[in-house]
Amino acid sequence: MILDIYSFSTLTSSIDNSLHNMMSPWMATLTEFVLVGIVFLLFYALLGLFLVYLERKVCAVIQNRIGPNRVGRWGIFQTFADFIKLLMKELITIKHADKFLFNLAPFIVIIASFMAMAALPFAKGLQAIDFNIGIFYVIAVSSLGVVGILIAGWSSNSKYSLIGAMRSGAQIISYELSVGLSLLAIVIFSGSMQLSTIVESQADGWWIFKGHIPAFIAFVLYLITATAEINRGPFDLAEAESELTAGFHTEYSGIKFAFFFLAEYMNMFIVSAIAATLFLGGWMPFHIGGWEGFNQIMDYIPSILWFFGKTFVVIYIIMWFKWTFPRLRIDQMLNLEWKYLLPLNLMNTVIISFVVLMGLYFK
Amino acid sequence: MNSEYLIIFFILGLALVGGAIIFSSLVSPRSYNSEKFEPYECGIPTEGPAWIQFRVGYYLFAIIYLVFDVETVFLFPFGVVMKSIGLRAFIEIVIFVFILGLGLLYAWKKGALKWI
Amino acid sequence: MREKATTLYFGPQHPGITGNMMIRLKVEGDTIVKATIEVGYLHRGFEKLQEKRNWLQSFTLLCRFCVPEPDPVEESYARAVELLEGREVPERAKYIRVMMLELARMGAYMLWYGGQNASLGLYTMGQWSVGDRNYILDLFEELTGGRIYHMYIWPGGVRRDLPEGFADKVLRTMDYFEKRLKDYDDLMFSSTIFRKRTQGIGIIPKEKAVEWGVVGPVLRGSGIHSDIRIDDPYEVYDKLDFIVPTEEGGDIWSRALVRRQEVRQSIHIIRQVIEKMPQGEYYNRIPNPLKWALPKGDAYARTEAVRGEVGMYIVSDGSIHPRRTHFRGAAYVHAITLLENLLVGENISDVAAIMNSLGTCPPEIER
Repeated sequence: MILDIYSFSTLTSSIDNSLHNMMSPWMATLTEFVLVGIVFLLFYALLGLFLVYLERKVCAVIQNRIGPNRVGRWGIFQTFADFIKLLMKELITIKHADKFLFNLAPFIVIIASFMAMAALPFAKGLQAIDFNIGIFYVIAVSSLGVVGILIAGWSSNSKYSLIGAMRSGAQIISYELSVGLSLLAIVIFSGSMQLSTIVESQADGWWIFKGHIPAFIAFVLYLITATAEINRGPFDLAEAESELTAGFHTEYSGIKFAFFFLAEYMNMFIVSAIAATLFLGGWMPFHIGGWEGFNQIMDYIPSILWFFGKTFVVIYIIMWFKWTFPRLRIDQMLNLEWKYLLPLNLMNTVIISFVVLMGLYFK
Repeated sequence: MNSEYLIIFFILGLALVGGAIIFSSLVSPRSYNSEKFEPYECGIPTEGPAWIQFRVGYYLFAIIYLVFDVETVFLFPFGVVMKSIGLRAFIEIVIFVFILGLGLLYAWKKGALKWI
Repeated sequence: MREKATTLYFGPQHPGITGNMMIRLKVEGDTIVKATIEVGYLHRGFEKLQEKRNWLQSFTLLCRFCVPEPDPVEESYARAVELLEGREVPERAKYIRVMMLELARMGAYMLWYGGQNASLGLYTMGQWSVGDRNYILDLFEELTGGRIYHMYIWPGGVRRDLPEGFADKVLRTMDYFEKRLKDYDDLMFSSTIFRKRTQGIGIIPKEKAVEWGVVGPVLRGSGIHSDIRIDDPYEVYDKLDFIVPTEEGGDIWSRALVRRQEVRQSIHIIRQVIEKMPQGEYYNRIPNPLKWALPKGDAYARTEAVRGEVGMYIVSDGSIHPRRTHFRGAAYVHAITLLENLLVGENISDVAAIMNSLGTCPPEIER
C-alpha cells in the first residue's frame, strides 16, 4: 500500500476546504487559480533553468570536462546568471521580418509546453487537471510547438531560418505519428487514456515489465521518436549548428531566444515525464512480487521522488543520446520514420492487441 | 480539479512570455546601426528574398502525415475499449491496421517517401 | 521538379566552416547546384614579407601558415635552405625532426577528429580529442618552449636537444594514446549514424583524383598509394618501418578510415624513432644569422603533412634575404577547385563535413 501521509490530495483538499470556509466560493476559486498559477510558474521557471544546468553538467561529464563551476557552489547559479543576462539584452527585430508572427512565435512554443504540463501527475494527488483523455491531450497540445517553430523560422526572413523551419516541420509532424502509436500501446494495456488511471493500473508492476517484450519495444520506439519530436539529440536538424548556424532561431535575440531554449528543455521534461508515467509507473514505487520487506521500504519513499527520479533517468538518457550520436541528414531521418519506425509501430500495435486479447501479459 | 483550470495555464504562458518581453524591452539598451537589422547570413548581405519557393519534398511528407494522423486518431478510442470488447475489436483492428499499412505501402511504392 | 535557385552564403562567419573563407552556394531547396569559393579574408602576404627578412627570421611567419600543424612548413623551409647551402644535418637531429613531425601529425589529426565530428553534430569527440591533444602540446612545451608555434626545426638541425627523461615521457604519452584511440573508435567509427552520414558523400573518383591534383590522405582515400615519406623519403623515413594505408571508396568515410590508421602509424613511427635515436650532435651551427648569406640558386623541399604535400621553394640571389619564396600547400588545391566540384549535388547538411574531410585550412590558402 502507498502510505497516505505522502498523498498530496490531503494537502490540496485541506487548502481547498479552508479557503472555502474563509471566503465566498467565487473568491476561493479565484484564489486557488492564483495559487496554482504561482506554483506552476515558479516550478516551470526553476525546472527550466535547472534542466539547462543539468544538461551542461551531464555533457561535461560525458566530455571529460568540469562544466560550469564559477557562479555559486558547483556553478549551480550559472543558468540564473545566463537568464538575467539574456533578459538585459536588446531585442532585435530583423528588417523586413513579419513582425507580428516574429513576436508571436515564442508565445506559441511556451504556451504549448505550459499547457502540456497541466495534465502531468507529479505525485499521488498532485495533478492540476485529470482529463479523461489525458494522454491524448498531452500529445495534441505538445505538438502545437511545431507551429511556433515553423512560424519563427518563416517570419525571420532569413534563409537559414527558413531551411531550419522546413526541416523541423517535416521532422516533427512525421515523428508525431510514431509518438502517438507507441503511446497507444499503453492505452491498450491499461484500457484508459486517463493518466491517473494509467498510473493506478501500475500499482502491482510497471507496464514496461508487465507488458514484457511488446511494451519494451514500444518504450524504445517512444524514446527514439520523442527525442525527434522535441528537436534534440541526433535529430536536432532544425537548429543544426554546423549546418544552419542556429536554424529556426537564428534571428532571435535576448529573452525571445531564451524562450525557445527554455521551451526545448521543458518539452524534454514533458516527454520524459510521459515516458515515466506510462511505461515506468509514474509515481508508483518499485515493487518486487513476494519481497514484502523490500516493498515496505520502497513505500516509504515519497511518490513525488519516484516520479522525478524516473523522469530524470529518462532525461539523462535523452541527454546521453545527444552527446554520443552524430546528427542525421533530413532524408535519412524521414526514412527512419516512414520506413522503419512507423511500420514497426503498426505491427507492434497489432501484437499488443493480440497479447491483451489472449491475456499474455502479467496482470 | 476541473478543466476550467486549463485557462490558467494558457494565461500563465501568456503572462510569462509577455511579462518577460515587456520587462526586457524596458531595461535593455538600444542602439541603432544599419547593419544590425540585416538578416544573419554569415556576415554577407543577403541576396534576393528569403521567402523562396522551397523544395516540394517537405510538403509531400506533410500531406502523407495528414492522412495518417487522422487514421491514428481512430486507434485511440479502440485502444480504450480493446479489453472490454475483446475478439471483435481485435479483428477489426487487424483489418484497420492492414488498410493503414496498405496506404503506407502505396505511398512508398508511388515514391512519395523517396527524397528527391 | 525544379525550384528556383537562390544564393546562400556559407561563411566567413559560420560555426561549421574551418576558417575564414566564404562559399557562395547556389541552392535549389536544399540541394547545391553550384558552389563558388571566395577567399581573401585572411591574406597576410607572408611570401612577400619573407623577402624583407633574413633567412632565419622567416620562421616566425612559417609557423603561422597553418596553425594546426606548423612543423611540416618549418621542415620544408629548413630542408630547402640546407639543400641550397649544402649544410649537413647531424643524424640525431634527423631523428628528432621525424619525432617532431609525427607528434605534430598526431596533434593535427586530433583536431581533425574533433572537426569532422563537430561538422556532423557530435561535439563530444572534439572535446575528447582536443583535450588529449594537450598531452602532445605538453610535450612540445617541454621540448621547444611553445605549445602551438615551435620554431624548433632549424636549418642545420634542431634548436635544442631532448631534455632529460623526455623519451620516456613520449613513450608514456604514446601508450596513453593507443588506449584512447579505442575509445575514439567506439564513439566514431562504430557509430552507424556516422557511417551512414559519410558513406557515398563527397566522392572523389580514382581517375579524377590525380587530375584534380589531390594529395595526401585525401588521395589515399581514393585508393592511390602516394606518400612523400615513401616516394621521396626525407630525413630518416627510409630507415623506419611503417605502412601507408589506402582505402578504395573515395568518400568521407574512406578518408576518415585512412586518417584513423595513420594516427596509429604515427605512434608506431614515434616508438621506432625513440628506440633507434643515436647519441651525438643535434645542431650543425649556422653562422651569425644577420650576416648569413646563402649561395645563389634555388631549392625546393617537400614534406608530407596531414593535409598532403607541403612544399617550400626558395630562390636566393646570394644575399642575406631570400629573393623569392613560394609555398605550395595542399589546402589551396583542396579547398578551391576540389571543394567546388565536390559540393555540387550535395545537401546543405554535408557542406561542413566535406570541407573538414578535405583538411581545408584557410590560413594556408592565402598565407
